[in-house]
Parts: sequence; structure tokens; C-alpha cells
Amino acid sequence: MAKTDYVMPKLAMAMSEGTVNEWLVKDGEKVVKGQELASVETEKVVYDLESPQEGYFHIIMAEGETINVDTIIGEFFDTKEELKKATGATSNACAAVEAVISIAQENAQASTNTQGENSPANSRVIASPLAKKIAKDNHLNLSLVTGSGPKGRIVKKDVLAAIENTITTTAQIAPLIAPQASKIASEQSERARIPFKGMRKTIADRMKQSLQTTAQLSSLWDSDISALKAVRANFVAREAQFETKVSMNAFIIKAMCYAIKQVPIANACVKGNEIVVYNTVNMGIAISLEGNSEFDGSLMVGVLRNAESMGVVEIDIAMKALVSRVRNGNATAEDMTGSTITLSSTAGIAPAGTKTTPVLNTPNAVLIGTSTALDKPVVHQGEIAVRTMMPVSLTFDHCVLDGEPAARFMKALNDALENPELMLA
Amino acid sequence: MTVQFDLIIIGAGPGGYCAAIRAAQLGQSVAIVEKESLGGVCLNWGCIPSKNLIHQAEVFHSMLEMESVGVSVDRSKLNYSQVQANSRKVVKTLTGGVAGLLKRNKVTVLTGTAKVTAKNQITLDNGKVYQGKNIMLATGSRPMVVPGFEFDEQQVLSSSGILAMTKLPKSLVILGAGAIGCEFAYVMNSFGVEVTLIELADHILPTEDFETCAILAKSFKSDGIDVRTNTRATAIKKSAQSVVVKLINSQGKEETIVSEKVLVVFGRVSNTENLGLKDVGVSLDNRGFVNVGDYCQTNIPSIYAIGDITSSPALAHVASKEGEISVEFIAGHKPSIVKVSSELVPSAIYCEPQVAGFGLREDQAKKENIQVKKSVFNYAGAGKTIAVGKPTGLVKILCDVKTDEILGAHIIGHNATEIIHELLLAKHSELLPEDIAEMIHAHPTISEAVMEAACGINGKPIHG
Repeated sequence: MAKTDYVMPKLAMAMSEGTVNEWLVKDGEKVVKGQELASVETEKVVYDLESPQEGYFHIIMAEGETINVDTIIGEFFDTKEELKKATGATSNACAAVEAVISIAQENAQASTNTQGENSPANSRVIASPLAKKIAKDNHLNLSLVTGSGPKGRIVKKDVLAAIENTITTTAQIAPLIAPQASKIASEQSERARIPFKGMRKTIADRMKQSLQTTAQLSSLWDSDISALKAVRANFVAREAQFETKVSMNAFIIKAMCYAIKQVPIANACVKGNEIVVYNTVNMGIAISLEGNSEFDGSLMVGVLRNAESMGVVEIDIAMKALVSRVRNGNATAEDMTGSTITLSSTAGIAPAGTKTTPVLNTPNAVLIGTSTALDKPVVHQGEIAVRTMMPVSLTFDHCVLDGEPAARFMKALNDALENPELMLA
Repeated sequence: MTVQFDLIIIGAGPGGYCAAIRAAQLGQSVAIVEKESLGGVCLNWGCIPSKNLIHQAEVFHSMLEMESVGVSVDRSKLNYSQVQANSRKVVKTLTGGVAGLLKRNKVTVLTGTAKVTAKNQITLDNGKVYQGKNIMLATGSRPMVVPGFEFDEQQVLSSSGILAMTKLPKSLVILGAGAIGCEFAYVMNSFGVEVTLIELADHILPTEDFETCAILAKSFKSDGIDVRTNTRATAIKKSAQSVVVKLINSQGKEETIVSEKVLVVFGRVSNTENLGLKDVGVSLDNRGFVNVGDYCQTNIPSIYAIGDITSSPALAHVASKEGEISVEFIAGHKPSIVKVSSELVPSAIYCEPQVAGFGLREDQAKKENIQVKKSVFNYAGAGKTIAVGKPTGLVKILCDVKTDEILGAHIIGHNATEIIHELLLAKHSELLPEDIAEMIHAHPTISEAVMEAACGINGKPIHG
């Protein structure tokens, strides 16, 4: 076959549309299999598309356009002649690219005149001159940034936040040094190679940045949640009434809010040269995401806002809605930003009694890690008894708080977990 | 029986009364307590009467210009008590205006001294008790008393005392060359008083840009004011006719000056005493300021504090803005900012030439090792300044090296306090110097100097 259509691939389960941020090949260029064709952006991440085949590539979709998956974005031709015949293009590939770009610009202009289409890439971007300059210097596509200024104007802090998140930057397309390594005879039998790109790279960068820029350490203990289990059972028994089966995590979040009230410094972030201590508790919740294949699962931190003002039922409902939005790719910017403290739980997945020391979700100063509870003999009220013990860890940034407040926070949290009636305070 | 309000504000200065009006506009039932006059220090014994005196001083001073065209002006009949009476008239007009605004917005005005007696309750000195869902403290500040320099308001004056003065002294020593000290130095000197201005720091207006202050000091000296920096007053001694001020400079040289009166303007202290704050548990810092977080909320969620009693800059326009942010939050709205950011607060000193500025200063950039792009344009380069005989002054803009973000701007010269706002708007809305440089400015205006200074950040001014 002389011609093969190339469509916007579905890169994640939740992906419904994608934007070609940048073509990495010229129109009409001969490409080889595995060569990077384009940088494509979904709601969450930027991916580099690799060519599935060899051939002369004709670009159809202009840069910056957002289209549904499975829409044709380019074509492969076996020979140069077929390409010329089909596209009517001159041999000057650059001219063709310019033509594509100018069409894109015309489209953009037309859509501005008609007050814009739905696609963010097509509507006029309102941004302060300073925000525009910083975005340009950092190769940031402003159409993907949400503005917080008057009438939604994009201002400096929005751009800085977007750069910090890196998720929306096109600049993060790491040059994939795809060495001819595979040709160098390798002794091991490989199952897969996963490039550090997109979400994986973002996670890798953030984890390293967390470990390199903070003085974090963890303390571990077990909380006796036997009483809490009984309290939860009362809520579970009223599932129909509350319209939710209140989870243990909802109680843990409530207990964290109680402890924050006792030791406010635990609810803090490092911002530039300052430590900001918050009144509101925006609970970051580590959420695992399934990938398409065996190895591309990932992790995101969803944010449950104003947890301090909610009861456990409300927390549970809001948390479950948040998790489902994050997992279905419908999370809003509010769902993904502004956490003041983090909860990371491996309960139900890790073996009972597992001790965890999760990496801090910067800029938060504190993270609570919980895991699967274990029934074991302990001394309770002077007797050896079987109690349900939940492993809990506190990871904290020593730059922000010292051992004394950290210990008080642990004690307050343990107090609430072991004496659930305190959560009424 | 107690009366219940949504919001009770203690203090009707520019912070309190603006907050009261805004809260009423947002549908809150509001009471405001004032122990003296509506408008607070700003309107009664500060900004407003002093600006009137400055205006009259300017008019009096500028009469001399007529001599060059052959009109001889007899200034010897100056009746200062009438000058002072004029300033009180202005105050009366404006306090009446505030009363009218409060009435129109259905704000209940309570006269008396209030004490916070519970988290949601105040008690007046007449014993009446009022409940407020929220309470806002806006009690302001008063002149700082330093031992050995206590005010008698006859010979040793505070800023309020000099505004009440109805007869000009022959000579006046001013201790402290901050905004108030410099403004009175200009006023009194213009009316013919022999003025000596004493400042401990190495330049007058120690919190302003050093280059602008150097120009002001030079202008003061050429007008005949005796300006002494790096100098400290160690004691004063009063006799029936005069006050002897003992001075020591940074080299240790001692000196005495004899003067009819002394104006002591060392600074201001916040009015946080006798408010019952300790009893209800409102937390103060070690300088006596009320600790506040976002939206000026204190550690007691139902109690807010704004203006001079917090550690933010002690300026009327800061208090007003804080009041607005606070009441919008109280009324359940989402204010666009959670607190006043000091880099966006303009300063304004109203002597002639005027001084105005905001944000980063050059000396501060040096000290904190911040790399800046700098552009300075002299007033004399703008034709209008020559035409109106006010060529002394400059516009200085400091920008971020990489992004061109405006980090600070400082102006000295005629009308500086009005002109600064073009640059402040640019900073506030994140405009770049090129936006100002490209905008057409009317000719001839002093604002052209701002445009030219903006041109100088990434290019060259035409008239520079």
C-alpha cells in the first residue's frame, strides 16, 4: 500500500482528545520507524509520538489544534513521488510547513472573531504582558494555563505554577537519546523499556526534587484502631442513610484535621523564602492510576479542599468523587493543586503491618503514611489482648518543623485514632 | 438587653469607616465605634489638615514668583491663625462627608470608648453591651512618646500639636526626618519659620530611595532649611521662652540649638492597650502589634484587625484596603487578594518637590544582591517641567534583569504623588516598561518623564 493514515493515538484510558504541540519532523520528511514525530499533549501530560513505520510523512494537523483521538493527523507514503502526487506539494518542504502554519493562524484568527470555539488552543489568550514574556521565555503554551487574575486573566503566578508543575510545558520533551544500545549485544533478556517521558518523567522529577530539596525524615508507630473500627462499623451499618460506605481513610483525614488543630505547623508549605502555615486543610491524597499496559501505571495527588470544615461522611463522599475524577481524567485544576498536607495509604494492598516511609509531596511539609492494619497481641489496660494495630508513619521536612512539634503532631494524631470520640472536638 | 450586629468595627479612621461602608454595601448590619471624631487621625489630625497647610504654604511661597514680572507682593500680613482655621474648615467638611456616607449606608455610629469583652461582644464606657458576629479592630496609632521628649503641646509638639498651633514660632527644631518631619519642615520654612531638621539615619526619609532623598535634601538646604543627618538628639531643656536641644553627631561631636519650639516625630505606636485584647486572648507580637493571618483575621476567628495596629505599613491607604479585604471575606465573598502586599503599596510625601515610590529600592537591591535593570530620567528632560518652572526631579524605574518585571519605581519632583500611579498600575497589572514606553503620552506633560524612563529600560529615551 502506498499510503497509510496516521491518527491521533489513544495514549491513556481516559484520553479523549489530544493537541499536537509541536511537529518534530518537517512536512514531507523521510522518517524512520521509532523516530519522534510529534509532541502531543493530553489533559494530563505531554507525550512524544514515535513513528510506527518508515516512510515520507505528510503533516495534516496544524500545531496547536486539539482533536479527538482516532482523527487523522498525518499520512505516510512509501515513495517521494507518491507524496508529491498526493499532496501536490513542491519539493520545498519548508514552504509546505509554512502553509500549514499560516492555515492554522488563519483558523485561530477566524475563531477569535467568532468569540472562539470550545478548544482552548483556538480561543484568544488573555494574559498580562509579564505572564506572556515569562511563558515565552520558558516555551510554555499559554492556552493551556488557567488564569486567576481579573476576568480570568493569566498572570505571573499562574505561569510560574504551570512551569513548576511542568505537566503543561512543551519544554519537557526530553531529548530521547535512543542509542543503538539494543544493537550492542545485550546479555539479558529484556521485557520492556520504558522511557522517562510524560507522566513517568514528571513523577521521577518530582520525587527526586522532593528528596534533594528538603530535609525529610520519617517516624513510625502503630495506632490501636480497635475502637475506631467499632465506630466505623456504626457508620457502615448506616450506609443506606449516608449514601456511602464511610471508609477508614475518611476517619484518618478527620483525625489529621484534629491533630493539625493542635499543631498548626504541620499544615504548612514552603513557598520561596517563606514557610506558609494555613488555616484551611487542603488534604493531598495519593491516588494510583492504572495504565494501558503492565508498566505505565502512575501516581497523582488529588486535593480534597477545606477538609477541616467537613464531617466524616462529607469527607468520604468528596474524597470518593475526587478519586474517581482523577482516575477518569476529569480532574480540574482545583482537584490537582494547592495541597497543604498529604495522606498516602497502602492499606489493603500492602501486607498487614507494613511500615512505609513515603516521599514528601513538596511543597507540603508533612505526609502521613498508613498501611494495612494487623491484629496482634498487645498490652491493653494491663492485659495482653488482641488489638487491631494500624501502622502509621509521619514524614516531615525538618527545614519547616523540628522534632518536638512533629512528635506532638504524632501524639495528637495517635490520640484521635485511638480515641475516636476526640474527632468530635 | 444587648443589640446584635453582623459586624462591629472599633475605630472610624480610614480603615474602619471604609470597612463599615463596604460591609454595609455587602448586606451586613454594621456598627462603628468612635471615641473622638469620624475619620480618625488621618482626617482630623494627619493627612488631610496637613495637606491643606502644605497647599497654603505652596501658594504663599509661589507668590514670590510674581516679583520677577514686576508685581511686588506684601507677605508681611500673613495671619497664621487664619491659615490654621482654614485647615480646620477642610477637616469639618470631610468629617461631615464621612458622617453622611455612613448614614446613607445605614451604619450605626456609636460614640464612646469600646472594650472587647468576649469573642463576639464589646462593651462601651457607658456600660452598654453590643454583640457582633464579627468584631474588627481598627484603633490606629498615636505619636510615639520617648522619655525625655514628652509632649507638652506648647513647646514640645507632636504632629497633632503642630496642627493645632495657631501662631507661628520664630524657630522650630524637628526631630525625625520621616514623612511627617519633612512635610512640616517644608510648611514651616515656607511660612518663614527658621527650621532645623534632625535625622539619626544617614539620609532624610530613611525608607525612601537614596537618590530621590539627596535631591530633596539639596532642595531643602537651598530653601534655607538646616538639614542635619547622622545626628541624634540626646536631651531637651525647656525654659520660659525657648527649648534647648542637645545634639550629638555620628562622629561624637556635641552641639546645642536653641529654638522656640520643638516638633518630635520619632514614629507612631499602635493603640492596642485598654481594648481588652489580653482578656479575650487576641495574640500580639512583641512590638505590640496584633498578629493577623490572611484576611486580617486574628487568632480568634471572629476578631479581625486592620491598619496601624498590625505590622503592615502604617498608611491610611493600607488600612482602607485591609478593611475591604477583610469585610469581603467576612461577608462570604472571595477577595482577589488575601493580604496587602507591601511591594504594591505606594508611599507619598507631600513637600515640594514631592516624593513618591513603591517596591524595591536600589540600596535594598544591592544589599539583597538582586540584579536589576535601572533607568533614570530627569524631570528637566520633559518640556512641561521647564515651562512650569519645576525642573527639579527624576523618575527611576528598577526592573528584573530577565523578565523586565517592574520591581520598584521612585519619583521626586512636582506632582510625583499623582504621577507614580501610572507605574504602580503597570506593576499591579504586570505591564512591562515597553507597554508604558509604547503608549502615547500627551505633550507636554510631566508624565512624559515616566514614558521616557520606561524607554530607558531596554533602549534610549529621546530626550535623555
